[in-house]
This record gives sequence, C-alpha cells and structure tokens, in this order.
Amino acid sequence: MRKHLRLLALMLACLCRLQAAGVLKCCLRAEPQTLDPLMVSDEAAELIRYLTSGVLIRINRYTQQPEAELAESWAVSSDGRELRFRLRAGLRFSDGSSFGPEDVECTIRRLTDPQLHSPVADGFRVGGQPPVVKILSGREVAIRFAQPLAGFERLFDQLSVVACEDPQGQRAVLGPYFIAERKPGQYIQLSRNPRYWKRDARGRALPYLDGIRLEIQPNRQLEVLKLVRGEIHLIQKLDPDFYPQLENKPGVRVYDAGPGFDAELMWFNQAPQAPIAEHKKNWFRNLAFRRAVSDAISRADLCRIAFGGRATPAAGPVSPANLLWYNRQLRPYPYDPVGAGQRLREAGFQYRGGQLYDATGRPVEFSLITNAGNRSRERAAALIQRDLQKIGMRVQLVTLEFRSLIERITRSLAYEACLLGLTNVDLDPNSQMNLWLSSGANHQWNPKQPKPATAWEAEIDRLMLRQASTLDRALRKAAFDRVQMIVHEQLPFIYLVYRHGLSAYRPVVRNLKPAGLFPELLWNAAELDLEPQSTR
Amino acid sequence: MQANVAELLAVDLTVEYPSGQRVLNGARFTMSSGEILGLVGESGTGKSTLALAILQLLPPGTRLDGSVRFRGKELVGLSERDLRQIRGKQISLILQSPMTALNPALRIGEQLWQAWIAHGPRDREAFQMRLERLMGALRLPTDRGFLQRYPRELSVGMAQRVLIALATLHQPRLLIADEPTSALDLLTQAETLELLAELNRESGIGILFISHDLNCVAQVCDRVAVLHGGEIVECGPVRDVFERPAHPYVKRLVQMLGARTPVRNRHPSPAT
Amino acid sequence: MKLSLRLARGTLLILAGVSLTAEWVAPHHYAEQFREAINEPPSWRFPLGTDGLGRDRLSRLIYGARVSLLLAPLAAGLATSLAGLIGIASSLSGPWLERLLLVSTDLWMTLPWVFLLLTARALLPLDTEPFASVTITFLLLGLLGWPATARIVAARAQQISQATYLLQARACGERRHQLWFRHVWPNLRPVLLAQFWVLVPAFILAEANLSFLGLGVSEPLPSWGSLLRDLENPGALWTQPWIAAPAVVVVIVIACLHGVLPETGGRQ
Repeated sequence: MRKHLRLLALMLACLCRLQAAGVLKCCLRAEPQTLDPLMVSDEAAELIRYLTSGVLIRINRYTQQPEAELAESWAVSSDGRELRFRLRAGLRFSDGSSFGPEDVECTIRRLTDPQLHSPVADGFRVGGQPPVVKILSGREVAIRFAQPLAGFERLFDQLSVVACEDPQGQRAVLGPYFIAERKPGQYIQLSRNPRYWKRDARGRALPYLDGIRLEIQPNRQLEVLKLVRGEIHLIQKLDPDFYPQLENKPGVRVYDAGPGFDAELMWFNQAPQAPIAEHKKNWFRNLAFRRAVSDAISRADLCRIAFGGRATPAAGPVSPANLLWYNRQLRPYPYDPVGAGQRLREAGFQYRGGQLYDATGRPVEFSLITNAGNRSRERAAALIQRDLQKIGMRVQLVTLEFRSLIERITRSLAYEACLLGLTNVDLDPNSQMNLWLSSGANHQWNPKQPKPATAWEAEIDRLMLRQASTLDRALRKAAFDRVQMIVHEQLPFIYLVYRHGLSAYRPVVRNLKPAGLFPELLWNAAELDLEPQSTR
Repeated sequence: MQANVAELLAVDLTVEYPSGQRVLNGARFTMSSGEILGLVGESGTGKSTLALAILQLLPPGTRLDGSVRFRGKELVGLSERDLRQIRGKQISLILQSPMTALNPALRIGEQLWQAWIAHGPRDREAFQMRLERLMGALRLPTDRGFLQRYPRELSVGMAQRVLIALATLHQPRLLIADEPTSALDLLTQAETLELLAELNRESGIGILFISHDLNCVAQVCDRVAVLHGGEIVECGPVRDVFERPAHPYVKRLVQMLGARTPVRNRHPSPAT
Repeated sequence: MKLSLRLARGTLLILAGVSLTAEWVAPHHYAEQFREAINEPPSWRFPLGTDGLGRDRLSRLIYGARVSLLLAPLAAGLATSLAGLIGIASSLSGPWLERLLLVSTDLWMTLPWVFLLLTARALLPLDTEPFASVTITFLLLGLLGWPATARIVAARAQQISQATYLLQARACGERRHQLWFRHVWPNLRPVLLAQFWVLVPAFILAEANLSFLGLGVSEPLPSWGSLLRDLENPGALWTQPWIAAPAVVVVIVIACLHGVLPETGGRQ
C-alpha cells in the first residue's frame, strides 16, 4: 500500500513536471568574473545579480521609473541626505531565514568595507564618506549620506541586499531565482526561489519558470545557431548583422526596440598635451572643421549600410530611449557635403585638385582609430573615410585591439580622431559627471583640464554642477538640456547614430516585454513563462 | 723486412676520443714509397681512425698524440691551410662506402671538377685531359652523359671507381684506401683490387690498404701490419706474417683463415 | 604530372599577371562604394557581387592578390633566409654557440607574440599608409616566422655536416667555400624551398588574423586575408555562396604552389 502511494506520488510529480513552466535557456557571452553580488563589474555577473538578488528599490526597465521592491515605501529627508525605507513584512531569504533591517545594515557595512574594494561601493561614498545606517524599528531603516545627491534611488538598484549570515550571497538570496548549479566554462543553472515574495495579479506565486539555464557561449554565431535550433529561447543585444538572417527563420521572432542607449560617435583629440602635430590640433579645435566633418558624414548611410537599417541618426549624447532626459529639441545634422566644403573655405581651408589644404598649405589628413572586431563599426569607419574623402580629407583608418585603443584614448593620448560607441548604463546625468566636467578623466576630447579650455566647456561645467546640486527635477532637466544643446552645437563629440536595441526570441516565451535597458528581455524574468508544449 | 728504399710515411699515434676511450695506443709503423701496406684488424680496432688521423681529419675534440711523418715532414700540428695543400694532392683518402662518399646532390663531373680545382688551375682543358687518361685507366666512360649523372645513377662498382678517380686526380704519393672492397660483390672486389695494384705498378703510388679481409690483403699487399688493442702487434712481409705469425692474436687470425688462403706475392700476374 | 605542373604554373602566372595589371583588368576601383547596391548577388556589373559597403568583390579580389601574392612570398623568403642563416650558423659553429642558438630559437618560439605585436603596433605611427602598414606586417611575419624552419634547417645542416661525402671532400683538399657552396648548400636547398612554400599560404592567412591587432592591411586596401574575414559568418555562406570566391582562389593558389613544389625542390 505504502509502495503504491509512493509510486502515485512519483507519477503525480512527473505530471506536474510536464505541466510546469519549465526551464528557460539562454546564453551568457562570458564567464561571470564573480558570483558575489557586491563585487559585480562585468555584464554576465550583472545579469546573475539581477536575476538572483533582491534590492530595496528597482528601476523598472520598461518605464524607467523607480519602484518599491524589498522596501514597501521610502522617503527622502528634507535636507536630501537621508533615505528612510519601510521594509515589506514577512520576507524570507531563499534558505528560509527571515529578512530584516539588520540585513540592510550588514549589506552596507560589507559594501563599504575598504578591504572589499567593491566596484559598486563608489557610488555610495558620496563626498568620500560611507553612508551611516540606522535601524529605526523592526521594519524601518534609515541610510544617511554625507551630502545630498540627486537620484539616490538609482544607486539602490545596484545594491543586492545580502543576509548577515551569508554575506557573500551564496545560499540566501531575495531574488526570484537562486544559483542551483555551476559548471565553470559551461553553464550556470538558476532555480526558482520558492520563497520569492512577489505574486502576480491573480495571487499566484512568482516566478512561473522552474529555472533559467545560462549557457556560457562567447561565440555570437553559435548563439544564433542555437536559437534557430531551439536550444535556447532568446538572445539579448543581438548583433545587427544577424537581424536579417533571423527575420525569416521559422520559430524565431526578432524585435527592434528602436533607438537604444548605445550611441556611436567620433571625436577629435584636442588635448594640448597630446603628442600630435600642433597644426592638426588647430584644425581639431576649429568648430568650422568639426562641423564640416559632421555635415559631410551621411548618417543615413551609416544607419542603412553599417548597421543594416538597425540604427537611427543621432543628434546628441542622450538618445530618445532615455525617456527622462532626452532633449527633444535636438535634430541630427543633415548630410550636406557641399555646405561642408563651403564652411571649410570660409574658415581659410582651400582645395587644390580635390584635396583639402589648411591656410598654411598643409594637406588635411588624419588618422581615425577604432576597435577591431566590431564589424558594424568597421564598416561605419570605411563609410566615414569615403565620405570625408569627398570633401578632400584623407583619413587613415586604424583598427586597434580594444585595450590598446583604451590605452591611447585615456593615457598616452597618441591619436588624432577616434570612432567608438558609448553606452549609458545609468540614465541619470549624475553618472556622467566624469564625462562632461572639463576636469574629468573621461572628458575624452580634452581630459583632465586644470581649468576649462573654452567658454562653452566652462558653461557645461557650471550646468553639470548646478543640476547635481539640486533635487528639483525640472531645474535639473533644464540644465542638462542646455548641456546637450551645447554639445550638439560645439561638436566635441560628433554623434553619429543610436544603435537600436535588438533582440530575438522564440515565441514559446510568454510575457516578454522587451526594454531598452539591460537586461532587455530578462528584466521581468519573474513573470516570464513558457508555452506548455515546449517543456521537455 | 724489405729493403727500406725511401721512407714515405712514419706513424706513431695515440688517439683518444672525447668520451675518454683510447682507440690507438702508440700504433707505430712505417711505409716506403711505392709499396702497398695492408693494415688489418677486426672491426672497431681503430683502422679508420688511423686513416683519418694521418690526414688530421679526426672530429673536433679528439686528442691526438705522437707523430705522422710524411716524406720527412711532420703533419701533426700543421695548420689547416698547410694540411689542405697535402690532402688530395700528396695523400689521398678513399672512404669506406662509395655510395655515401659521393655527394648525392652533385653530378659526377662537378664532383671531379671540384676536386680538381682544389689543387689544380681552373683549366677545363687540362682537367679534361687528365680526366680522359684517368678514366681510361679506371675503365670508366668519359662522355658528357656519364659526367652528367648523379651518384644514385651509378652502380656501386662504378661509384667506387669514380671515388678512386677522385682520389688519384692529382697523382698523390700516398693513397689511403679504407675498406675499399667491403661494400662490393666478389667480382667487383677483384676488379678493384686489380685496379689498385695496377695504379701502384704504373705510377708508383704508395697504398695503405686498410681491410679486415686477409684474403684481399694477401692478394695485393707487399707487407702487412696487424692492429690489435690500439697497437701494431706485428708488421712484416705478407708471407712472413701469415706463415710464421709471432703474436698470439695474429696466430689465431691466420688459423681462422685456414689453409685455403693462397698466400702469394702480387708481382706475378695480377689477374687470376 | 607534367600537365598538372604546366597547369599550376600557368594559373599562377595568370593570377600574377592579373593582379599586376589590376588597374586595367578590375572592373572597378577597390575602394569605390556603390552605396545603392550593397550585398548584391553576382551580375554583369558586379561579377562576384558586392560586399557590405557596396564594393565590387571581384575588383577587391584582384587588387587583394597584389598584396597577398607579392608580399606573402617576400615575407616567406625573408623568414626562410633567416631560418637558413641561423640554422646553418648553429650547425657550423662549435657546440657551445650551437646550443646558444638553438636555445634562443626555442625561446623565440615561446615569446608572448601577441604582446610583442601589440608593442609593434604601438610603435607604428597611426598615419602609416595602408600599403606601408601591410608591408610592415609581412615584414614582421617574415622576421617572426623563422624559428620552426630554423630548427629543421639546423637539423638537416647537422646531418649534412656529418655526412661521409663532406669528409671525402675535405680529404680531397677542397677549400672551405667549396665545401659550403658545392657540398652543403645543394643538399640544404630543397629543405629551404619546401619550407618556403609552406610559409607562403601560412602568411597569407596570418595577415588576416593580425588585423585584429591593428596590424595588417587597413581599409580600404584589400588583401586576401581581409577578404577571407567575410567568411566568418557561416550563415551567409548558404545564402550568398559567391562570397566564398576568395577562399577558393586561395586554395587554388596553395594547390598550384604545391604543384610547382616538387619541380623546384626536388634535385634529389
């Protein structure tokens, strides 16, 4: 009798297995460098952190608005320096231990431990000081910073809350999944966290899926092949070269989310300390020269040819994908090679036999560096080379290995012009201070200036500091809009295109809501589901 | 002992290999002009070493003591430059196996020409004349077609005769022939022996005939020296040594040869 | 055998001829972008179709031959000569120097090449002309490609230096240069030639890989190596089989070179 019961239970279990949502499969493009949620610095690790850990405030990747997560609600103090969280009641970690404000305190303490060198910690050391945590009650905790800072909430999207008993977040997690198995170099298997707190509209416990299997596959072609064969369910950040290939494949859908957060841009090296010819720096500092280059490049051709139509001409640093900060007044410069030539002549340049010379009679030629291995970008570089040839400029293209490219644009400054993509991970302008301030190390065209080299850079400095020092969103928006306008007019960065957010998936995946922000398809992983027949 | 007409070569050698092995230990003998001296001994007793040592061709690192006097001139310690003048011109050497002693990548004519210009003038006509006489004597063809051949296109016997031609191009006083017959079949062996005897007869060339084959030695040599344990244990006219060996080793050697050996002098008709 | 040899030689000659007269033979300039006609299939106007930038694939193949067919053999020649010199020197010299040379050859093989090539790229000015850049790349390949060959040459030279015929030649009183040029060299030459023909295709392909380090040919100049990079995407091969043309040509060239090989290398 007992034996029969056990058999029945087994059969029932099998049946449930058939009915259950199953395991979603996709690829990681690299081995995560760490599984410690407080040590994340690479994209693979970031995805695992996103899927496994709980945070106090989550930026909704679709609406780009902060949402309450482990915190039921929060409030900013009047001086803008303190955040007060009220935690959800009855939350438990995946190992069954209960969650309380002590865990938030442990998390912050471990994060800001100077021994840990957490890359996430930098954002929390506002004014160089770690925040102070105060437990107010069994459900309330306050975090106080040394200085007020606009957009505090976004910091907390990066901060996985870990248990005091398991500070490395290995056993006890608060996210929808936990790491069940890991085979380095092969896969990471995530399983459903049965104690996850979130429920769907009908009160059913999330997540629906039994788990997610992340296979480590650095080769993009094989990833595409696996999707076609049905061995994985989705691809995020699809390369535009594969888009047309997958468009007509049965059982595969492609999705173009429109302009994404990745901008392709080129800039000229204006740094006075750069080891390049002085007369070239004079061209590069000449607005008419930069404007002529910008006008001579056919952005439409870049979109159509280099990116297979999966890009949109760009006007400024913030793409329309950024719902909160995009400056709607900016328009991309139209393609105008004739106007460009006119502009150059007015600025003292002259043409002899189709070749452009500056006022001192030197031929206009410069090298444009870009990183090797990105086919779309290499094609874009070849198009730019040809476009600029039409206005008499000779461009030498040099594709460099990525690290040596970074070495050149950050340290040696031994380059003349650079073509690169920039990704804004964080939507808030505060995360771009290092880029726009003239003293910033990432102020690529002329980094680490002791004082602003031009009036417009001084104005950008003032505007960036102003937006950072106020909590008034309208004021901040106005200031940052002005920054975008100055950059558009002065062209220190010549913005070319915004790459579209592309993804591909198999329609058996239900409830997908592709977003522009990372992780584009898996951001609502707790709500994803698979059609029953696909379960095997 | 035969009357010492004129001393051609006087050897007294001790040779030690880099490994420390002493191959020759005061091996001493002399040769007179125009004679054929047979040097016999088992394989590995240092016969070839002795041949190379006379021409100072031992591999680097080999220790050589003693003296090699050639026509009254000491060769040990001579500069490479002076030695080169002697090699091939005064003293020639024929190495063991004719097929490997010829350069596989060079045509016969070219090899002979190289040996010619090593000592002679770059005079094609003189070379041609000398070659014709020599090749005739060696019963080798002298036509272009033959000289255009590569060593691999020759028979072993032919190759051996080319080698002899190479060695006697400049009419040396002394020819050292290291096992010239060991690679040959019986018929070619006989032919070669005959050739050497003929050369000796006609041009008075002294021949140091190195062999482990007592039969051959008996056929062509005037005298014989027996190498054993790095020393010359017995040296004398062929008949004396073979008929009345004094040293126990030589006794055994001759016994093993048995009674079937027709010990005879070379001066009667060579073709038998 | 005779026919295939003639065929191989003829093919190589035709290819060399076409590449040298590319200005007249190629239907378009290699850098011209027909932006209204990207990724076109073969047609009368573009016999091998166009690439992702609308450039005529046939013209690029023809111009690319100039870089690859000219420079790869030169680089292979350089590498083989270096290998020959070092191999011969090591077999010639005393045991002490020989060991030193062979050890340094092995060391050379184990050097972190990617790092060194990156350094080379860093030292190279950015405004280097495309042709200069690719020439330097092949020069580097030539300078770097010798060790394996040197080892083979050294082994062969060692073998030759102990050959009986060399001893025989010394016994004939031949001079040092005679020994070298008349006895050692003719036996070494086939080894060097064989190595040369092996290095040519290896270098054609290596140049393509070096473009990832910023060396090699730069846009818009084509080389066979850079054209072969179009084949990275195997999916495209099914829908556009004509893009495999450069690979086919490279295979033909390699086959022809090997066809010519026994004739040039086989003196023995």
